[in-house]
Amino acid sequence: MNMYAKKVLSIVCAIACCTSVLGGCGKKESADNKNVTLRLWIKPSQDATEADLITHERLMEDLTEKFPEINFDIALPPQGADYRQEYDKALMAGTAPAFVNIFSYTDIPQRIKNETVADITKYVENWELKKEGKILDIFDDAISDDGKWYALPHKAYVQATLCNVKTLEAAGITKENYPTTWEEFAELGEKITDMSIPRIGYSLIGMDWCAWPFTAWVWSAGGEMVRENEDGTYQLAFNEEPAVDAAMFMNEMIWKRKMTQKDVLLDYNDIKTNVFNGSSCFAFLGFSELKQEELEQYGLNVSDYIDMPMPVKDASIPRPALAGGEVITFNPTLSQEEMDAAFAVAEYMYFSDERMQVECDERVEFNASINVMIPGRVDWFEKRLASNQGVTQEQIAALNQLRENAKAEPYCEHWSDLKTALVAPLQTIYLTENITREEAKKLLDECAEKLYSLYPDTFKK
Amino acid sequence: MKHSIERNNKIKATGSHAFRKEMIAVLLLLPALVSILLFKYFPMLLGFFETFFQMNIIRLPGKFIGFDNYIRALTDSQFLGAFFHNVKAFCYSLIMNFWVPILLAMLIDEVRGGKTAFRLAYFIPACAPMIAMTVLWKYFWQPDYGLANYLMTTIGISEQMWLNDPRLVYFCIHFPGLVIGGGMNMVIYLAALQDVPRELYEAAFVDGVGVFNRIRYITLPCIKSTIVLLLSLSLINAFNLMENIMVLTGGGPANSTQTMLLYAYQQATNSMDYSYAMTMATIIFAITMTLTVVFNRITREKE
Repeated sequence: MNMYAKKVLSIVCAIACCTSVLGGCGKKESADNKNVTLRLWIKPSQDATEADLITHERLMEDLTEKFPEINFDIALPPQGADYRQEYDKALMAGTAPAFVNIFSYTDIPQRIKNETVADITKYVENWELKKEGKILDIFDDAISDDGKWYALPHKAYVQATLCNVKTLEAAGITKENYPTTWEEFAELGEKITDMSIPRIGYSLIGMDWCAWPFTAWVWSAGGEMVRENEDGTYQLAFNEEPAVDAAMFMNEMIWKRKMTQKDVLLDYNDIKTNVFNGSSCFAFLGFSELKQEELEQYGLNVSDYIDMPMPVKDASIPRPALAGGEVITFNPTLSQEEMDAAFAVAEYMYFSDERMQVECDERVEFNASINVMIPGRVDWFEKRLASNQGVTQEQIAALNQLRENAKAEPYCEHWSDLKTALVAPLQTIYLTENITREEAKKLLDECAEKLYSLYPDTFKK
Repeated sequence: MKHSIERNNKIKATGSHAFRKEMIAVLLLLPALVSILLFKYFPMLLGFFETFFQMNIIRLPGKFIGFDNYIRALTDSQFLGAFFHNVKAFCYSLIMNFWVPILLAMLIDEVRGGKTAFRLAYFIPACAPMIAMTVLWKYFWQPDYGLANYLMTTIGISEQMWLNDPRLVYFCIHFPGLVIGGGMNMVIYLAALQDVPRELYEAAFVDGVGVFNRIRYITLPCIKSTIVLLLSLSLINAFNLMENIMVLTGGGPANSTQTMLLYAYQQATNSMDYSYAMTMATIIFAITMTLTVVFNRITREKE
C-alpha cells in the first residue's frame, strides 16, 4: 500500500470513528410497530446460572404472550458502585427502566421530595388486590404521602440475630440455652469466644452501616431512634438513656466481655462469611441472607442456622426484630400510555397468582436458594416458605416469632443522613476502651444537635 | 531569473505540502479531540454549571440557588475536616512514600550486575491491581488475626488496633508504599538517573567528592524536573484520595480518614445531594489546581 492510500485510509477511519461516537449517542428507535416500548432491567448477567437463564427465558415468553402490544427492551442492570446512583444516572440520560425493585422503602420519602418516583395513586386506589388485603402493607406510611402513592411493596425481610447452631454446639452449648436478655447474651458470648480457634460470640457491625443494627439494639433497650412530632417533624431519640445503654453495651461486648471481633471496621460481607463458616456464632443478620451456594462452600446446611429476636436489656421489654425491604418504583418520565403498560406488567410480574405459582414451582425445580422474604403478595408467604428446600418446622416457627415483634426501620426524610451522622460517634464509643457513660451521652447529644441544625424542617426538639 | 522562479515554486510546493501534512495531523487528532471535549470537558462544565442549582434529576438543571452550595461547603465542618484529612494524607505520603522510589532508583542505578532483575522485582508489584493489593493489606492490619499483630507479638510488642486506631490509621494506609515502594515512580526516576552525564560523576570521583555530596550536588539537581513532576502528581493524588480509603476504612474510624472526595461521594450516594457533591468536587479541583500551579511557580522561580 502506498503512502497516499495509507493517508486516505487513516482519514476514512478517523471520520468513521467520529461518526460512530456521535451516532452512538443517538436515541434507539423501536424496531417494530408495537404501541408501547418498555425498558426493563431484568436481563441476566454474564455469570448467571443455567437456572437463571431458563427462568428468564420463561418470563419473557410469558410477558410476550400476555402483553403482545408491548415491545420489551430488556437491558442488563448497570454494574456500578452504587445502584441508586446508577439509576439516577440512567434517569438523567433518559435510559432508566419503566420500573425497578431496587430501592429500600426508607429511600422513598427523599425520592418523593426530589420527584424521582412517579405518582401511582390512580392505580393503587383502584387496585383490587389491595382492596382484598392481599398486598403487604408494612411500608404503606413510607411509600405514601399526603394521600398519594409512590411505590408498591416488593419484599420484606425481618432481621435480628442469626445463630450458627453448629458453632454454638462446638462451644458445648445446647439449643435450650438461647439467650433472651443482654446479660445472658454476654455471658454466652464470653463462653463461646475462643480466639485460639478463632471463634467469637458475636460479630459486631461497626463499619459505616453501624447505625442500622444499632437501631435494633436501641429498641432492645426499650428506646427509639426518632419520635414523630404532631406537626410531622421528628424528635431525635438516639441520645436518650436507652440508646446510651445500647451504645455502652456494644462497648462492653468489645472490651470487657471480649466476645466480639476487635475490628470494628470489619466489612459486612466478612461478617456474613464469619457466621457462615462458623468462626462467629451470632450476628445481626437475617435468615434471608443465607445462600445455598455459599453454605455449600463450608459444608453447611440451612438447618444449621436459626433466627432469633434481639436479646433485650431486661425481660419486660418485648424482643424486637428489624423489618426492612424493597419497593417497586416507577419512572416519573413515562407517558400516560407507558405508565398504564408499566403498571400492568409490574402487577403481572410481581403480584399475579400465575407468576407467584411459577416462582414457587421453579424454586422446587431448580432447588433454588432459600427465600424467606415476605413477598408483596403477602397471602403467598406461607406457600413460598413451603417451597424452600431444607427449612425445618423449628426454623419456620422461629421466623414467625421474629415477625411478631418486628418493627419497620424508621423512614423519615433524612433518615440516611441521620445514619451517616451517627457513624462517627458510634465508632468512637465502640473503640474507646474506657469511655464513660457521660462521654458517650455527650457524643450522641452533639450528633443530635448537629442534625437539628442541619435539617430543621425534618428534625425538631 | 529561472532559478528564482524555480526556488519560489519549490517554496510554494513545500509550503502546501507542510499545510497538507498539518491538516492530516489535525484530522487524525479529531476523533480523540471530539471524544475528550464531549466526554471530559463537557461533563466537567455541565457539573460546574449544576453547582449553582439545587439539582432536579427530572427537570434539569433545577432551582437556581447561586453560591449557596459553595457557602454551605465552606461552612460545613465535616468538609473542612475532610480537607485537613487530605492535607494529613499528603504529609504522610511525603514522609513515608515520596523518597522511597528515589532511594530505590539510586540504589538500583549503582548496581553493576542484575540491574534488570532488581528493576523488575520492584516494578512487578506496581502492575498488580491496586484494589486487590489494598484488600490484602486490609487483612494484614486486621487486629484479630492479621499478620501485623502476629509479628508484633512474636517480637514481644503488644497488639495494636491498626486501622481501627485514629492515631495509627494514616501510618497503616501509607505503610505499603514504604515497604513495596512506588514501583512505577522508581522506573521514572531510574530513567531520569540514566540521563545524568556520567562524566560529572567521574569528575567528582577524581576530585574526591563523597557519596552524599555527589547525590546533593549532581544527582538531585539533575533529576529535579522529574522530582517536581512526581511531587505535583503526588499532591494531586493526595487530594483525590478515595478508593484506598473506601476499601481500608470506609472513612473511619470515627470519620478520621474521611477525605473530601469520599465525603462528596457519600453526599451523592447516601443523601442524593448531587449538586452539593459536585460543588465539593469543583472545590477539590480548584484546590488541586491552585496548589499545583503555586508549587510549580515556586520551583521555577528557584530555578
